[in-house]
Amino acid sequence: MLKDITIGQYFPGNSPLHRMDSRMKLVLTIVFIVMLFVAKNKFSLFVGIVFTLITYLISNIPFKMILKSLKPILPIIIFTSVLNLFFIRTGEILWQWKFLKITEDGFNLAVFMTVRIVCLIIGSSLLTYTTSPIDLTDGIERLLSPLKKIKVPVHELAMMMTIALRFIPTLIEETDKIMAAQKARGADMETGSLIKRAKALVPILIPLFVSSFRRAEELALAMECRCYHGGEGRTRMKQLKLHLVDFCAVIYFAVFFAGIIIVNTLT
Amino acid sequence: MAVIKTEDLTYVYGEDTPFRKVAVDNVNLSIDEGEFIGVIGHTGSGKSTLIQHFNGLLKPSSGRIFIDGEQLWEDKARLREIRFKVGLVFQYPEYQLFEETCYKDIAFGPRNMGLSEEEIDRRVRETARLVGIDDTMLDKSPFELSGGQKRRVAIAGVMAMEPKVLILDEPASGLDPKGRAQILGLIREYHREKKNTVMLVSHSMEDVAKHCSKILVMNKAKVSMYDTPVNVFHRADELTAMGLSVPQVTKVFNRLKAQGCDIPEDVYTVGFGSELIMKILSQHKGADL
Repeated sequence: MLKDITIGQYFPGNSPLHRMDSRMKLVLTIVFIVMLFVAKNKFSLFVGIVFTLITYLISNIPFKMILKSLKPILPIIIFTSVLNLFFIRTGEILWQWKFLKITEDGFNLAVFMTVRIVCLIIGSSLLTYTTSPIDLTDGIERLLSPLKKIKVPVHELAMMMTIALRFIPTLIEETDKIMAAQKARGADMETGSLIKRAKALVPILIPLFVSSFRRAEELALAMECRCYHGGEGRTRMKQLKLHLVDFCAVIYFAVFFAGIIIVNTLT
Repeated sequence: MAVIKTEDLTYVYGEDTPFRKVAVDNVNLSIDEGEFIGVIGHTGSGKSTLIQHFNGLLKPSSGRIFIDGEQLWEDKARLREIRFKVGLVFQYPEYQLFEETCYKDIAFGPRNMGLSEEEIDRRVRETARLVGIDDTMLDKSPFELSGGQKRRVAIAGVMAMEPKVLILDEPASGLDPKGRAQILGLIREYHREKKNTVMLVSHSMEDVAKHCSKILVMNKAKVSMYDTPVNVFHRADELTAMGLSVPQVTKVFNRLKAQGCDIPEDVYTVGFGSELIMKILSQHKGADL
């Protein structure tokens, strides 16, 4: 039951997107977001849509997964488009009922924003679909490493993220086990008032905390036994290196970014 | 009457995914009241999945389960009631302790059953005595106890519910020999005192041979044997083929028999084995004189 939750939605594959350097993917995702916001009319946004579509096709990710990533933001999309639809009062009136009215401008903006948000989500979820969480934290660590100069503990933060990600499945499994054990002792978690249900969590949370502390201590000990002493002078098993595919990606992005700017100025 | 009965019980993990795995395959079992059953099978043979069905933690993909004549899952509201009839002790049960004192932790199950305070008190004290936890320890935090003591408190927590069937999943794993003997001894004591059905999942053939009246062998999601220890260990070759084995003493005696000694085949405890050797030796002595 709890196993159904996927955290870090990595979908293994061997597309060019999968093979790209995680740092490059992070940077280009930011470029992509900027690109979508630079597009200021429907023609340039159309270029953005084409771009998103092509990138999606390259990634080889099943369409079902994309839909899944859109589901959680559906309320936001509906909310913003309703706001845009009813509160923009300029332009020709399309529909009116008492004080509610929908104008052409409002309608256009609502569609425009919706398309933009959907593209945004699809594009940025491609990042998490094609990059394993470990690669992602590695990339973040490397990208943020200049901040070490101003005493930001970048390596430690990245290590924390990696360990947290590593332990999520373990903790889920543990929670499942403890829940089963307490249920076997007659713990009732499904019925009763909210307060009663919150109280029913105590027999699960306490053992979970206890075992988490135990695990943390064991892991710290194991790391110390292997002479872990922080980021200084640490080498990596997986060296991040830019390849041909990364440079191709830069060119691909540059072409479309230029395209959007040109369409922007032409129309 | 059979206290646990299954009809074509099947359970599939991850149905409709690439990871689909049949964990329990068409199991038909009938377990009589008062038995002490040892459940053996190699890792991943479906033992744990099977026992989780007996108190309704898992819902069978198909097939039916009857506990004490009543069908599980027929009426979901009754599920919790039926669950109290089958007590399940998981592996490493000490990790589920959570209360401030051992007393409260043992009382958790009985309290969930909605018993009166006096009844709860009686059950807690009785099971604590049974598992060898004295009164001073009852007021301590379970986190102050040693590993073996924690385990006994956790087992007492399930025993205090006085289930008709007590199922224990490897209750002695990770303990030293003394702790093992203690735990298995108290389970045996419990069985003798309460006359309830006990199911013991174990990897140790010696333990199973020593304590159980019947042995259930799981292999590849199926029940491949359910018989008395004599009959099960008689099929040593089949057990070995499943990645299991027979008690070491049985191996010794089988080898002796293969070399032509005139001994019975049902030697599976050290006690009986040594008795037998003494008997044969004394006979030989008699012959020599």
